[in-house]
Amino acid sequence: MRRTRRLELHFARRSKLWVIAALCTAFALTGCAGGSGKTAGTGVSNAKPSGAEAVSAAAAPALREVTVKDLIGQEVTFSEVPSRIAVLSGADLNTVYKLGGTVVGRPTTKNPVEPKEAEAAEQIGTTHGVNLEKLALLKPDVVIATAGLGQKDAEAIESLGTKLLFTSGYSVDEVKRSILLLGRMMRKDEKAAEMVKEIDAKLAQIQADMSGKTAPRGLVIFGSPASLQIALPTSLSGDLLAKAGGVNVAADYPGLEKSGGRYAQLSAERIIESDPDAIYLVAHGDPQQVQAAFEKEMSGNPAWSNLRAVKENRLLVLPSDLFSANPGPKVVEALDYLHKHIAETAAQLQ
Amino acid sequence: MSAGGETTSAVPAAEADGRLPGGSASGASSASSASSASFASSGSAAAGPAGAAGRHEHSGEGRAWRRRIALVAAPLLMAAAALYGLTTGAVGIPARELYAALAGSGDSAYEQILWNLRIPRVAIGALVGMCLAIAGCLLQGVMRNPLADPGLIGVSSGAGLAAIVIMIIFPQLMPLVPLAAFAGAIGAVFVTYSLAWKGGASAMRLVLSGVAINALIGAVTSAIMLLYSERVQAVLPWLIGGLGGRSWKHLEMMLPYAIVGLALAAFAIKPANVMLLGDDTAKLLGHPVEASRLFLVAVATLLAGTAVSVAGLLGFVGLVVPHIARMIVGTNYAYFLPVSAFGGAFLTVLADTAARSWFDPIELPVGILLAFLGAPFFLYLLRKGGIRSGQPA
Repeated sequence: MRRTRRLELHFARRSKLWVIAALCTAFALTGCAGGSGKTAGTGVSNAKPSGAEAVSAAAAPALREVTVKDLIGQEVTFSEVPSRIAVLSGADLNTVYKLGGTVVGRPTTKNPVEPKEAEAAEQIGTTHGVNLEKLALLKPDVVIATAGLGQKDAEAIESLGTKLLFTSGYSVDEVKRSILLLGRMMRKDEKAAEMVKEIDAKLAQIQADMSGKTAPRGLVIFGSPASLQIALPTSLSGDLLAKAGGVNVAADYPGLEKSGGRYAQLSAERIIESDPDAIYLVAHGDPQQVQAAFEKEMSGNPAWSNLRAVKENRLLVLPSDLFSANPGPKVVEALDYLHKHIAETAAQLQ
Repeated sequence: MSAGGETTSAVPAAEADGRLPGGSASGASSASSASSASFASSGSAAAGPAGAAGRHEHSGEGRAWRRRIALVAAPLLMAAAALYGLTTGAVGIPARELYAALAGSGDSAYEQILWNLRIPRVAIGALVGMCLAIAGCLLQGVMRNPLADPGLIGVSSGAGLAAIVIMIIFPQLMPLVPLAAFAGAIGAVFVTYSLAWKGGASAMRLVLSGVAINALIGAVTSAIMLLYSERVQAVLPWLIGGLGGRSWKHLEMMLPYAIVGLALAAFAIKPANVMLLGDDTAKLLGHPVEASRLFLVAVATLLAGTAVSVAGLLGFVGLVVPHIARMIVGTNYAYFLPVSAFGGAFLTVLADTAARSWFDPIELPVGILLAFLGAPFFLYLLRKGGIRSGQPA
């Protein structure tokens, strides 16, 4: 469905894009002839295992056209390797450089730019506010955006004659697929596969480490304890909690996900009832400074001070650059960070 | 009990006056000054304005009745809401367990839920509702404007900006959010009042400078939210206003200020009644108009600032509860103020209980439920009765 809508949009904008899109569709139909029902029926199959984005033949030589399906299920065709890449998120910036590429435009950020080489690139804003004038001057071949980019901005970017590719990072799986997607676009499939292998190795190591142990039950609060937004399994931090060896308390309440968001306010009475083993706070700002405030806030409030996690001081601040926005290749660090605490908690519980 | 046509002739004048704050003060208020002068000077006002003009004699009795009923019913309603709040929540606690938990001998989770969540939260809800409703009453009188609420003079925007700056930019200071919100509210009102001062502060200048300050602070707040848009999710419930996770700590924090504010509100009844007459009439009666206005705005600010520091930006109570109370008991603050206070407490506790138990396991910010429950009731009264502005009828 979504693909159809996007195609119509292209058609309305420019006929050239329409031709490309039509080619893509034709390609998709022939390429999936074996299991056509599957692809056509589900449209965007987000849950597909890694490596499934590429629609065209896998072993395409560098000169051949490559069509990729991005993280919002949109198909984009590159007739050659894009040389002028502009990136709107830190995660994708990191990935592009890890894959051996460079960018002409990078996200605007208050944090230090990673990697350093990208510092000199033009700043083009962020997903929440794109600097269209700078983009128009840069004339990139492709803009890599994250799935949060607004429809209006997307249309504006496409109207500049630039291809738009969406990545996403709401789960470890999406992080991996985003890396593979960029690898395919840059014809660096092997390097991308290597990076994904590293993540998989970390996941396997955690799984081995946790085998035979009771997985601690954790609760992830987003932003500020004053507003009690709880990370659901559909959010990045919720997924990381599960992948790092913990059990997300929010998963006990399927009703939470009906709200459709990635965070929801869990009733205070239910938090007391579920009495988690550990409580995490995804916070912006310096984690060490926030840690002290977090502990004070939780132990000073009689509503929480009798929770097991608070009494036994199993509170941890999760830095937002790893747990809120897409961490990209640094997802390994995020898993390590959280798993260390979970392993300690598991040891204490035994 | 019918609220129908007993306030015939005074209503249009009052409405017109309310919509044109300050500017029309002399004209409209002199029209009703004949009936209100005796009302103001009667002080205790047991007889109320009804006796002043003979045409109201009959309806005066009806209103006296309604006042008595409302004065008894409002606290009872509040008590009923409190009972509902203590017995209801996301986690169902059987009656026997509830009793055991109350006695301190029950299941520890139940005890924890009852003692550290429900009891303090019902108390906070009642206090917050009272504070906001009284603040709204006083401001609607002082401003002589039916749209006046604590937000009008900068309480909400000031508190909101201070809280957002801490929650979004300096999360390491998060235990200071209530204090910062309180200071922000007071600071914004101080600026509004100072800007309105020009050898005195008229109601109209207060309203207008409030509008300007709100716009200015609102712009700064929006800019911060846009610059840090990925963090906004964490502050939304606070901006809507909610009591999630509030406990004894917050009650202790607000209680001293609330007690002082509520006590001062008792002394505000007489000046508030006089100020309803408009500046000119009040001055003719020898009333210190500027001092009264400052006092009333200060009390309202203290009350509203206390409420928002703990509950976030709850908007609805301060605007609508005074209107509902006024429709029932009239504008004499001796009745109007206590009925509003208990009404505000009733509505807030009821809405908060609904917000934390009807949608289990999700808890909604009470601000949403307040408007959801209150607005239809308000509209019903509006169609049935007719709204009076802050003018004595």
